[in-house]
Amino acid sequence: MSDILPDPVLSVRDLRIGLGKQNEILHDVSFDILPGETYGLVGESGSGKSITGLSVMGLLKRPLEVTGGSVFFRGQDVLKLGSRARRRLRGDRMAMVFQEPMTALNPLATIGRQIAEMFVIHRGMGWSDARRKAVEALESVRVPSPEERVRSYPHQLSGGMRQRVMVAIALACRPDLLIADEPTTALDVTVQAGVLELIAELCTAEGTAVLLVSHDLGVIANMCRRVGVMDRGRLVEEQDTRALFENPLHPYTRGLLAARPRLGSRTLARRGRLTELDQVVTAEERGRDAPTLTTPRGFGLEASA
Amino acid sequence: MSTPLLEIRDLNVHFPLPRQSLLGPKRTLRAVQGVSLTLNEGECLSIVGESGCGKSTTALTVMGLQGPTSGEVLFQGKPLTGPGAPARKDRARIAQMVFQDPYASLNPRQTIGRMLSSQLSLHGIAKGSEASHRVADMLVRVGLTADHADRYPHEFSGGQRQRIGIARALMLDPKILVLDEPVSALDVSIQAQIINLLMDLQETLGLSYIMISHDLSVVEHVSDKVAVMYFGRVVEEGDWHSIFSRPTHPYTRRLIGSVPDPDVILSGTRTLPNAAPVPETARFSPDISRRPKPDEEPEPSELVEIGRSHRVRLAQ
Repeated sequence: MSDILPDPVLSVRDLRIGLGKQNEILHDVSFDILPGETYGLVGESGSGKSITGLSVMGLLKRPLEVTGGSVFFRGQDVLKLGSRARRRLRGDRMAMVFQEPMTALNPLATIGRQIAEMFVIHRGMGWSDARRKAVEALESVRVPSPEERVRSYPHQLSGGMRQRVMVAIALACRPDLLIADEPTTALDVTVQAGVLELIAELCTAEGTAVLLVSHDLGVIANMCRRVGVMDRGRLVEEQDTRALFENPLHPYTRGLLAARPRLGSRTLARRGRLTELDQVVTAEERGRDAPTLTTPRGFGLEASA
Repeated sequence: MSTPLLEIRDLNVHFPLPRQSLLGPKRTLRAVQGVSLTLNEGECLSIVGESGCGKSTTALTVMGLQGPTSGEVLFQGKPLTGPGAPARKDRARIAQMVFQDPYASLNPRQTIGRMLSSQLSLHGIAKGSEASHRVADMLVRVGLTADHADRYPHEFSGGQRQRIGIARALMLDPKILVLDEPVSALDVSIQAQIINLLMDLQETLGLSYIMISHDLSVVEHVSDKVAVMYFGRVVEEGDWHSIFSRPTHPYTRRLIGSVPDPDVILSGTRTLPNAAPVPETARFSPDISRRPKPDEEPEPSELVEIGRSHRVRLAQ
C-alpha cells in the first residue's frame, strides 16, 4: 500500500537516544510523517515524546545525545549534517512551538523584531521589509491591531497572544514541518481551543506537516490524523486517530484511554471510581522491546473537524 | 435548615491598581465581586473558570491568606474573617490546602517524616514515637509506605509528591480541604489515581472539598456542586447535574464546548445539552463577547433561580 502514499516529509528510523553512552532512554523509535499530515505523539512525562521532537530539531542538550538511527527530513539524513546546515534548516524548513511561550520568547526584544528576525536571517531581507512582513504574520495569527502589537514586548501580552506570536514566528518562513511540543498545556481551555484551531487552519492552508507532542488525548483527537503512543522510551502503538480510539491494540493504550474521566459519563447514581492504569496494563507488559503495533494508514483522508 | 459547614457571604476582594497618571483617578481591580457560596458537610464544591477569574483569590480568602475587602466567611456559623476570626493555629485545624505543584510546596531540605510530625508537635498533639506512628499511618492512608518518612521530596515522583501534599494537609484532621488544581500538573494515568484517592478519603474521613479546577471532565466526575466564575463574579451555579446537563450561561456553554473530548470529536458532532429556559426579556450578564476592563464598574445583575438549585446571572 505504501506505493501510493507520497514520500514522507519526515522519516524517523530506529532512533535511539542515550544519557551518556550507557543509559538508553529512547529505544528504536520509527515513524513517518506524510506531507500535510498532523501526527500526534502521546505519552506520559518521561516517555520520550519531547526528546523525540527535540532530536528531530537538533536541539538535544548534553548529556542527552542521539546514539543511533537516522532522521530523514525530505529524504536527507539530518543527523549527518553539520551544525551550520542544521541551523539553516531550523526555523526555515522545520520550526518548533514550545510549551511555555514566556520562556521561549526574548523578553528584551519586541515581538515585531522577533518575527522580523526570521525573514532577515532566512530570507536575507532588510529590517524594514522584514518588519512589514512581521505585521502580516501577526495579522495571519489573528492578533488584534497588529501594527501596534509589533512594538509590544512579550510581558505585555496574554498567554494566548504569546502563543499566537510563537506560531507566527514558527510559520513565518512557511516550513515543511512544524513541531509543536505541548503548545497549549499552559493555556485556559477556551484559549486553547482558539490556538489549536489556528494551528490546524494555517497548517492545512500551507500544507505544513505537524508533529504534535502532547499528553492530552483530547487535544490529540482534535488535531491529529495519525497518532503514536509512547511509553518508557518506546513507540508501542501507531494507528490512525479514529482507529486508535475505537480499537486500541496495546494494553498500555487501553489503560491510558480507560483512565481518562469522560465528560458526560457520570450518572446520577453514586460517583464511580476511575479505572487506574495498572488495573489494565501490568508492569510486565510495559517497557519491553517489542515491535510497534501498527495498522496501515486509512484512505479516507477526510478533512478533520 | 441546618447551618452549612462553610458559608461565603457577599465576598468582595479588591486590589488597588496604579494610577495611570499622577493626578489620575484611583483605580481598583475587582478580583472577586459579591461571591456567595455555601459548602455543606461531606460535599465537594468546585469553582471553575479561566485564569484571572478570581477562583484562587476566593480560595485564599477561605484559607485566611487573603483578607476580604468586604463580606465574610463563616465556619459553622462563626466568622473566619474579621475581628472574631480564630487564631492561625485554630484555623489550621479547620481548613487546609493542597497545591497544584507539590514540589514547590514541599521543603526540599526536610524529610517527609520530619515535615509531617512537626505539625503534630507544633500543635501539641503528639511527640516522639506517638508522632511517628501517626505519620506512618497517614502515609499508608494516602497510598505510600511507612519507610517513605525518611526520604526527601526530590526522591519521589510527581504522583507520590501529590500524595505527600495530601498527607500534609490531612495531618491536623481538618474539616475542609481546599484543592487548588490538584491534578492538572500530573499525567493522565496518575490523575486517575489521585482522584480516586481524594474520593476515598472524602468518604472515610467525612471531608468537605473546595476544588478549583479548569478541567471540566474532572469537575464533573468529582463535584456535588459547581460554581462557574467569570471576571470576579459567579455567573452560574448549581448541583453538578444541572450545570452539566443544562448549561445555561453563555460562558458556561463556551467552557464546556471547548473541552477537547475525544468522544465527541470522533463522533463528529458536538452538541451541547439544551439550556434551561430563562425569561424571554432577560439578558445574561456579563456580555461575554467582549472582555470587561479590570477597573470597570460592573453592570447591575443578579443570580436568578432557573431550576432546582440552579442559578444563573442575568442583567437587571
